[in-house]
Amino acid sequence: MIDQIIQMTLNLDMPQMSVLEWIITLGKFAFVFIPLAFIVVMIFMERKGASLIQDRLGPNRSALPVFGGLRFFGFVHNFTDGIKLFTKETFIPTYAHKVWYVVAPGIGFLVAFLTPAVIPWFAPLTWWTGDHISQVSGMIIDSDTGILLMFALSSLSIYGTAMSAWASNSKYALLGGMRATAMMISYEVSMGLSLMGIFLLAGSFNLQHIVAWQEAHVWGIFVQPVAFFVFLTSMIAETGRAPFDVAESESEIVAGYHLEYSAMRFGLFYMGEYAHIVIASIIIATLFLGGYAIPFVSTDLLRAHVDIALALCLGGLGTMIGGFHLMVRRWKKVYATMGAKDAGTRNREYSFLQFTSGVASPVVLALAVAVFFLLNPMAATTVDGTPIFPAWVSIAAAAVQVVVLIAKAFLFCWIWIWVRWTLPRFRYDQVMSLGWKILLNLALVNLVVTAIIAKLVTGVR
Amino acid sequence: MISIIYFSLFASIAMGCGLYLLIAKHPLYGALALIGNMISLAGIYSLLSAPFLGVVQILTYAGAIMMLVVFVIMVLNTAHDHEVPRFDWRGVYLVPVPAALALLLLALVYFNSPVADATALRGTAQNISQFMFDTSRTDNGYWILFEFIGLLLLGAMVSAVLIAKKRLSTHKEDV
Amino acid sequence: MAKVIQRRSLTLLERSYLWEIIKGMGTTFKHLFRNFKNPEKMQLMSYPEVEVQTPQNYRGSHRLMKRPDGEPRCVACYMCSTACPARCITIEAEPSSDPRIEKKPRKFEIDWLVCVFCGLCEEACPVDAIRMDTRKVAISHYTRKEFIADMPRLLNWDPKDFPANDAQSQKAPGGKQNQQAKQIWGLEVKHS
Repeated sequence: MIDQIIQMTLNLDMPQMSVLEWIITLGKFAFVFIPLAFIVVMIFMERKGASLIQDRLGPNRSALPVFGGLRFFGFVHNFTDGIKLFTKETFIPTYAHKVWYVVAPGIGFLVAFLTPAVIPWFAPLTWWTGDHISQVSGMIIDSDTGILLMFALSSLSIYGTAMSAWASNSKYALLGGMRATAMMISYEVSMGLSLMGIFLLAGSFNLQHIVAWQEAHVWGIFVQPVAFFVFLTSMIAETGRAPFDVAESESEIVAGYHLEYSAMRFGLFYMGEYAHIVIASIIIATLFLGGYAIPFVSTDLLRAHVDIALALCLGGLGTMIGGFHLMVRRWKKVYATMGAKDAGTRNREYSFLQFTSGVASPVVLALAVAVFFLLNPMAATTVDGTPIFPAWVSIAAAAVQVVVLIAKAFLFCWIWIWVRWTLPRFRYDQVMSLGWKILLNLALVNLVVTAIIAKLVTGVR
Repeated sequence: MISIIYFSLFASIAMGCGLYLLIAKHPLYGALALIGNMISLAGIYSLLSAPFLGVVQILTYAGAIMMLVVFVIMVLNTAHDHEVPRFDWRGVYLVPVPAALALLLLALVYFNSPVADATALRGTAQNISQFMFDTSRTDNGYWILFEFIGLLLLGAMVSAVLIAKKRLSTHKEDV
Repeated sequence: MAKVIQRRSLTLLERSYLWEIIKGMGTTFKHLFRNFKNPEKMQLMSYPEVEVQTPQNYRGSHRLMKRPDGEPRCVACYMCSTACPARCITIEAEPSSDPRIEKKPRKFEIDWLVCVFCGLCEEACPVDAIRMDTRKVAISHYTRKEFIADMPRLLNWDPKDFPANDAQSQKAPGGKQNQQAKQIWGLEVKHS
C-alpha cells in the first residue's frame, strides 16, 4: 500500500506553464500582504472615525520633519506607533511558559497570512498566446474546498488566543482566553450554518464559483439577507470587537488574554485583530456583495471595455484627490480662524498638500482621458462565441476587479468601526444567548427555507 | 518528488506528535501534540487528492473537538497535573493491543494488499456528496443512513441538554 | 416621600434590539457626518497652539504682590504656610528694613508638585500678598527642582497680564503709573 501511495504521489506531474503564467501564479502570492497593507489604512480609519463620531479631532500630532511638519491629518501617527511597539522592551513574566508565551501571538497572525489564499481576487485570467488559450485562476489556492479551508485555518487561530492566555500564567489572562475560546466556538457554528444557504444556491464551496453565480444571477445579500445578518454578526463576534469584546473587557478582566504582553508581541495581537477584520470584510464582500464583480457588468463585458473601466478607476482616483484638495483648503481656512500660535508652520503644510493634490488631481484625470482614448482592447480570437483577449487586457481587467473588491471590503471595514463606536459591550451571558438561541436558530431556519425555495424554483438538485 | 518530500515531512510530524502524546507529562502538551498529529494527517489526505477530507479533519477535529479538550484541560488545570509520572507499570498491559493491531494491519497489507483505486480515492466535496446523497442511485446510497445518524445525534444532544437541565432544576428545589 | 417611577415596558420593536441598534448607528453617523462637514463647529481647541482663556478668578499658579517700591508685600507672618493643607509653602523670615514693618521673607518657596491649588493661602493672607490669579494652569518642567518656585519667580509677573481696573497690580513697580502711585499713596519708604 505504501508503494502505491508513493506511486500515486510520484505521478502528480508539474503543470506545463509559460513564463507569463508562472509570473502571475507566483505574483498572486503577493495578495497575502493585502491584509497587512489594509491594517495601516484601517487603524487610521478607526482612529479618525472614532474621533469624528465622538466629536473630537483625533490624533494629529506626529509629523514628518519636512514642510513645517507633514501630519497628513494624523496618518503619520501609525508609523510612530509602530516605531514605539518595535523599540519597547519585550518582557516575559517570570512564571510564564517561555516557549508558548513567545509562540502564541504568532499563530493568529500567521493565519491572517494564510487565509487570503482562498479568496478570488479577480476572475480567472484567460488570454490568447498566439496558438492556445492560457488560463490562470484568481485564487492562490484554487481548490474545491474553498472557503472550508479558510474556516479550518481560522478555527486554528483560537489556539493562539488560548495558548497565550494559558502561557502567560495569569488569572485574568486565563479568564479572557476562556471567554474568547467559548465565544469563538459558539459563533463558529452559526457562522458556518448561515453560509449553507448560499452554498446550496451556488452549488459549490469554491468562492470563485460563488462569485461567478452571483455575477450571473444576483448578489448574495438580496437572496440571503438573513444569512448576511447572521454571518456579519458572527464575524464581528469572531473578531472579538465591540460589542462582543467580552474576551478583553477592560472593566472586568483588565485586558483579557493579552494582559501580560508588551511591545511587539502585543502589537501582533493588535495587528492580528485588524487583519482578522480585513479578512472577514473581504470574505463578506465576496460572499454577499458579489466579490470582484461589478454589478450589471460581466467579466467578458469588462474585458471588452477595459479602457472605459480603467479610465473610470483613474477618474475616481483623480476625483478623490480633488476632494482631498478641497478638504485641505477648507482645513486651511478653519485653522486660520482658530488663532493658533503655529498657524505659520501649519499653513506651510497645508499649502504643500494643497499644491501637491492640486497638481496630482488634473494629472490623474488627464491620464484617465488618455487611457480612454489610447487603449483599445481588441479581441484576439473567438472561441465558442466568447472573445479571447490578449494578456494585457485580462491583467488590466483583473486590476480593476481587485480595486472593486477592495472598495467593497473597505465598506465592511467601516461597518466594523461604526458598530464598535456605537454599541456598548454585551454581558457574557447575553453574548452566549444571542449566539445559541437566536443566531443559530435563524441560520437553521434560513437554511431550511432556502432549501425549500430552491427546490421549488429550480426543481432540480 | 516534491510529494515524497511533503509526505515524509507530514508522516514524520505525525509520528513525532503521536509519540509525544504518549510520553507527554502535562495533558495540555499531549492535546497540542494530538492537534499537530491531526493537522499533519490532514496534509497527507490532501496529498492523496482528498482535500475535502483533510479540511474537514482540521475543521472538526483539530479546530472544534480538540479546542474543547484544551478548554476542559485549562478549566481543570491544577498543580498536580505536572506530577503525572511519564511511565507506570500499568501501562505495560496496554502495549499488546496497539502492537497486535499494527501486526494485523501489516499482515493484511502483506498478504492481501488492497487495490487503491485512484478514482474512488478522490475525496473532493463533489465526489463525496454524490457518493453519499445521490438519491437516483440504486445500489449503495448513504443518505437514509446519514439522516438516521443525524437524528440520533440530535436525540443525543437533546437528552444531554435534558440531563444537564434536570440537575439545575433539582438544585433549585433544594435551595 | 418616595417617588415611584413607572417604568415603561418596551415595545416589541424595542425588544427586538435590532431597530434600536440601527437608530444608534444613525446617531453616530449623524455626528460623524456633521463633524466631517463642519470641523470648525466642533467644541474643541487645539490646545498647545490655541491658548485656553481661563477666567480671572480661576485658581492658577501663585504670584507675590509688591509694594510700590518693589519690595514684596509679604510680612512673613506664616499664616499661609500654616493654612496650607499640603504644606507646600516654605518661609524664612528676616527683619525688615522698613521701620513700620516687623519682618520680611528672606526665602519664600512654593512647591507646585505638592500644592493642591486650594486657595487657602490666598484666603489666609492678612496683607493680600499672595494671589493665584495668574491664569497659568499648565505648569510643566523637566526636573522636579524647577517646580519649586522661589521668590524671584513668584515676584516676576507683568502688570500687562492683569486687568486695568486692578489698581494694585497696575500701580506696582514696573507698572505704568509707579511714580503717581507713590505720590498718591504717600508710601515713600524711608530707608534707615
